[in-house]
Amino acid sequence: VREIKTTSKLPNWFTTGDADYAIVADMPEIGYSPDLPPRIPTRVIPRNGGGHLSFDSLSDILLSIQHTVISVAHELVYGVDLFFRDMRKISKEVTQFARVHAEPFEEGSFIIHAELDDRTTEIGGKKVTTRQVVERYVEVLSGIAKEGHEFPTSLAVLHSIEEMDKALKRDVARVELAPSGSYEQEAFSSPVVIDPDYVIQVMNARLHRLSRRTEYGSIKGVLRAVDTTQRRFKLEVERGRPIVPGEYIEELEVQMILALGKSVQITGYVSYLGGAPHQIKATLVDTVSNQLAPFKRG
Amino acid sequence: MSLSRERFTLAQFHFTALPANYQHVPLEQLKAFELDILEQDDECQKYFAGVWERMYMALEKHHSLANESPSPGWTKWKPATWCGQRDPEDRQKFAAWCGPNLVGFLNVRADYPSIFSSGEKVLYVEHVGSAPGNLSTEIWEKRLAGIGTALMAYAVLQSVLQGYEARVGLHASDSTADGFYLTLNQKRPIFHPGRQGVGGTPQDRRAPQRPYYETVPEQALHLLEDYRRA
Repeated sequence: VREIKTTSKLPNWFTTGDADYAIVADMPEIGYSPDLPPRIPTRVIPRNGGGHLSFDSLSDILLSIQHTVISVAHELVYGVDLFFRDMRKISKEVTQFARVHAEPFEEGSFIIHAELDDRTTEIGGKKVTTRQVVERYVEVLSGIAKEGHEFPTSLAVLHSIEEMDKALKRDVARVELAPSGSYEQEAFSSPVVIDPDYVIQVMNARLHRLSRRTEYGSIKGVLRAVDTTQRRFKLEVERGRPIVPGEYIEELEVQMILALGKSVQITGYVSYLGGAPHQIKATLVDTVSNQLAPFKRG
Repeated sequence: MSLSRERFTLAQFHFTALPANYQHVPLEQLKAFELDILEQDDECQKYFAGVWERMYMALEKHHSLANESPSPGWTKWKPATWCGQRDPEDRQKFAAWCGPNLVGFLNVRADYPSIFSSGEKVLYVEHVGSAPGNLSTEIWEKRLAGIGTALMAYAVLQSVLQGYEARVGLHASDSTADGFYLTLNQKRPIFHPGRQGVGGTPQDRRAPQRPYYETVPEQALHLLEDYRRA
C-alpha cells in the first residue's frame, strides 16, 4: 500500500520568494482533445414514459443498427443495387469493417453510445472510411424519411431497418438516431426518428420494390447484347442501373443484329419490379440512332 | 550547449506538489507532498477509467444540465485508452502518484524537430494532466497545486536524460493556457514566444491552429533545478 509522504523541502521556486510562484503553481493542462470516432448515438424512448426496457427490444434495436450499418457499408463499397437483399452475401471484410461497438452506457438513460473504430481500409480496390459509412447511414435514414420508396437503397438496408418493428410493437415508443463524427455536431439537435410511421414507410418501400406488374408498351435504351441461339438480348435502359434482359420473336432477328450497340426503342410486354423494368418480351424494335452508343462506366 | 549528464539522474531530484491552500498556510508549517513519477501500468489504467473519467463525465453532465459554458476540453481526454494503447509506439507514458492517489500523468514523444534551434530535436509533450480533483471546477475545488509544474520539470529532466538538452516543445491546449504562457513569460521566460502553424503529433490534426511553445533551455533547467534534492 502506498503511503502519502510529506516533506518540508519545498520547491525552490516557492521558497526563494519569487513573486511569480503562484503562477508557476497553476500551470495549465497541456494537450489536445482527441478526434471523436464516427458514432451513432441512439436514444431509445420507452412507451408511456416507462422507466425500463426489455432486453428483447434492446437486442432488436442493436441488431437492427448493426445490420443497417453493414448493409450501408456494402452499398458504399459496391454501389447501390436496388434488389440486393441477402446479407449473407456481404463479404467478411465489409462485415468486420463496419462493426459497431458500444461505449459505456450513461447511467440513468437508454442512450446507446454506438461507435465504429475510426478506420480507413481498402475493399475490392476501393478506399473507404468508417466516417463515410456513417455519412451514408445518415443519407439513407433521412433519404427514406423524405423520399420513401423513391430513395435508392437496397432491400437489405430496408429489411435491416424494419427489424426495429419488433421493439416498436413491444415497449418502445420511438428510437432517435443522431449519427455524427465530431464535437461540433450537437448530438440529438436534429435526430432521425424511427417510430411506427417510419417503419411503415420502410415496409411500403420494400413492398413497392418487390411489386410486379407486366404491361404492353415501349422502352428506350442501348442494345448491349444479342444471343441469336436463344433469341435473348440485353438492354441498358439507364446508365448505372442494372441491364434489363429480354427475349425477342424470331421475326426480329435481323433487326436485332443490326441494332446491336445502338440506341433503340423496344416494344412488347415489359415486366416491372418495384417500378423498374425487369424483363422484356420484344415484339418490335426501332433503331432510334444509327450511331454506336459508347460504352462508359457509371 | 552541452550538458554533463552525470549531473542529471532521476535520484537527484525530488518532485513535489503543494496543498491547494498553500498561500494561506504559514511558510514554517507548510509541507509539500512527495510525488512518485513512474511509468504508467495497469493500475493507472484502472484508476483513469474508474476515477478520472467518471469525474470527467460528472463535470460534463453538470455543464450540460446547468446549461453553462461547455465543459473544459480536458473532460474529453481519454487517459485510460491512451494508457492501454500500444500505438503510437514512441509515446512515453508517465504517471505521478501521491500515495495511493494517481495525481497526474505525462505523455511525451521523442525526436520532434526544434523550431528555435535549427537541426536540433526536442522532447515533445503530448499531454500533461492533473487529476480532475486537483483542478478547480464549477463543482469542486482542487486539493493539490503544482502538479503540472512538477511534471513539466520532470519532462525537462527526461529531455536532458534523452539527449535533447532541456528542449521541450508543446502546444497550448486552449486560449486560457495560451494566456498562462504569455503571463508566465513576462515573469519567468521559460518558453520562447509562442508560434502559430507548427505541426504536432499525427494524432493531433488541429495542432497548427494552436500556439506552439518551446523551452529556452537555460530557463527550463532553472525550473528543473528548483526540484533538486538538498
